[in-house]
Amino acid sequence: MTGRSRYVTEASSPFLLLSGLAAPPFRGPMLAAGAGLAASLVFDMHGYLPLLCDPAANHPSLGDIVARLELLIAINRPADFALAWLAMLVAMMTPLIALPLSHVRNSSLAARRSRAAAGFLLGYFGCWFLAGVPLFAAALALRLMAGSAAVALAAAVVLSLLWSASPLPQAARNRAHRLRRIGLFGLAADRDCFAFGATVGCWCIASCWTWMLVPLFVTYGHSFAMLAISAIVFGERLRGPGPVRWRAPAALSMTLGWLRRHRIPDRRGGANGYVQ
Amino acid sequence: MPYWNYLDASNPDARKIPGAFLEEFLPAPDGHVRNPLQDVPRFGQKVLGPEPRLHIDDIDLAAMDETDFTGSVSFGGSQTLFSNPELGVRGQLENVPHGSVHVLVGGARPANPGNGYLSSFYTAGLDPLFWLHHCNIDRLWEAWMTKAGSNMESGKQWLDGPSGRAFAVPKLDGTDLENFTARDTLSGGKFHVGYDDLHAGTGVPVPPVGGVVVATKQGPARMAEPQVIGANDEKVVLGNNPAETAVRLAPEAGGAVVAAMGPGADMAAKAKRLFLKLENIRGVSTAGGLKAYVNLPVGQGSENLPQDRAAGSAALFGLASASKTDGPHGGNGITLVFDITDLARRLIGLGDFDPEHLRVKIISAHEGGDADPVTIDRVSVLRD
Repeated sequence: MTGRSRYVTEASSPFLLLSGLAAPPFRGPMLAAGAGLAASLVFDMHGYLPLLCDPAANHPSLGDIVARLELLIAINRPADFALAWLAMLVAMMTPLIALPLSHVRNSSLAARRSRAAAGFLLGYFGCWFLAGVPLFAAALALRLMAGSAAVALAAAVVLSLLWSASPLPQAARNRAHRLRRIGLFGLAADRDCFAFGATVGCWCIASCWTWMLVPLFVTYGHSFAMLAISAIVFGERLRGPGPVRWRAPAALSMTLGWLRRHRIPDRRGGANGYVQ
Repeated sequence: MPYWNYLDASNPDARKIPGAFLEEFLPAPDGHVRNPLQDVPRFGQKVLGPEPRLHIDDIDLAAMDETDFTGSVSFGGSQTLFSNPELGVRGQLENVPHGSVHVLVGGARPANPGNGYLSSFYTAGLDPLFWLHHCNIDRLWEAWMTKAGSNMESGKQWLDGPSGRAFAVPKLDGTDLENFTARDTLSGGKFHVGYDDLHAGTGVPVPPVGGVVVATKQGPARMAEPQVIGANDEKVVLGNNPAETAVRLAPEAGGAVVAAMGPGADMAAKAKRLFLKLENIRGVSTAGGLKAYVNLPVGQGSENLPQDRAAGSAALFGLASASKTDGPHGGNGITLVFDITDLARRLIGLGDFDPEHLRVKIISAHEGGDADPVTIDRVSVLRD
């Protein structure tokens, strides 16, 4: 064992972490995420899922996919797609923006706080909303190449782990942590809030787009998959900025950290609870 | 624990670097063994005081007057959940005397021939003087907790946190590391240390004989979190020359400030404080200094600026480190908050306080100069 210390990535106590999430500035976004999850259950969220994760449709041809896509578009209104995608985004992404949203609110006049937050959210979710088109296309391509939904799911998970381990998402996350000036008055203030939201949104997409593919291939327990992916991308965000290099993805380091704490008896007392 | 008690007004030598850290050679028989306490790069002062070439004012004990430990204007600094760089505002103690002593002793270009170890986050701990300086900062905190009216943080997140990371120190026998929390450093904790004197150089008076010793008060912050009521219109760029920017207060809030500081205001309004906030100061220079003024006389040059218009000054300790995008601060730089309540009151008394147009002049000395200027995202005014 060497004598070099470094920050652990997991909470010193799960209860402490959870109580932190129940307090401002996380409380509001966590509640909004819960509402998003509920909305995703209420809406006809899964209209598009058979296209991607139907286990009975292995090795579809391009023609099959196109035919299913046409059917999907024919029987669903565009608004249904939009609402389903938006609900999924709110459920998964809102906790990630608790701190920049707090910056926007605290930087604005008390009377303009709701308006400032709305501008930021419009920019942030606007970017994610538009990103739905290429993401869905990427999911279709992956489904075609993989043949079966199970292989596509495995491929998406491996791709996400590799992407998370690479330096690129850390570079993007570093920029997603960068604050920018928020004007106080008039249209300049609205512009700044919207631009800040869009900037954070774009870097957020660059950081975790692969993870958003994963729930699309889960046949059963889609909501559970959404929750798990939310926890992973939230964990990545909470790591904070850092050097741009290869590193263990948060999904693995969080699991390994938990195992260290709970499966290695010597560590249970916390005396040696740091992680090398 | 030993400490450098530089603000002890009763000791005429208090501001001098302790002699053991200045001797070039150890008192060995041959006289040629270099003194490791001295043999480190230090380019700044040997006797602490104001450094006008860096626009850093003298150190003082103003931070000891803050009543809350936690908050965006407080003794200890703002609450930061997990390891995030978005919400951090330095505590007043961290600025003065902490940051000032770092840069005043370490030195900073262009006023000094180099940046000493003490002037950078990454090298400060390599200067043995760092430990005496930080013991005094720790002692000031200990003294502050015994001061009447101090309101120490008591939240579990702070005492047992931080949630997203852990503190660790080597064990005394060097075999392993040991985790600890903030709670462990407070009275009764396993790493709590004692000091022989909590009064000399701390501003905390000795209780009268037979007086009651103040117990540390714990609870939520007393002062309401200050709200922004005004701001400038564009990012400030600071090269070698001073920059001037206009700050506009929201009409209703500006009127309330003037009314509260004029004659006839009620006590509650008079007690409210006003702050000038310099948000997200970024730069590539290791360190430097900065000073802000409000409503300097029109036509005033850049020399001999009147101190009675000064809003505050700060040593830009750790500027480059805090400005690195892939550093722990996420490139968000340093945010400073100066208390301008008294200055605003004076200006209102002089009839020189137009809430629609406050003239803020900022002057800085840093090695980046015009080629790599310091930037300030926003200059704002806050009120509690």
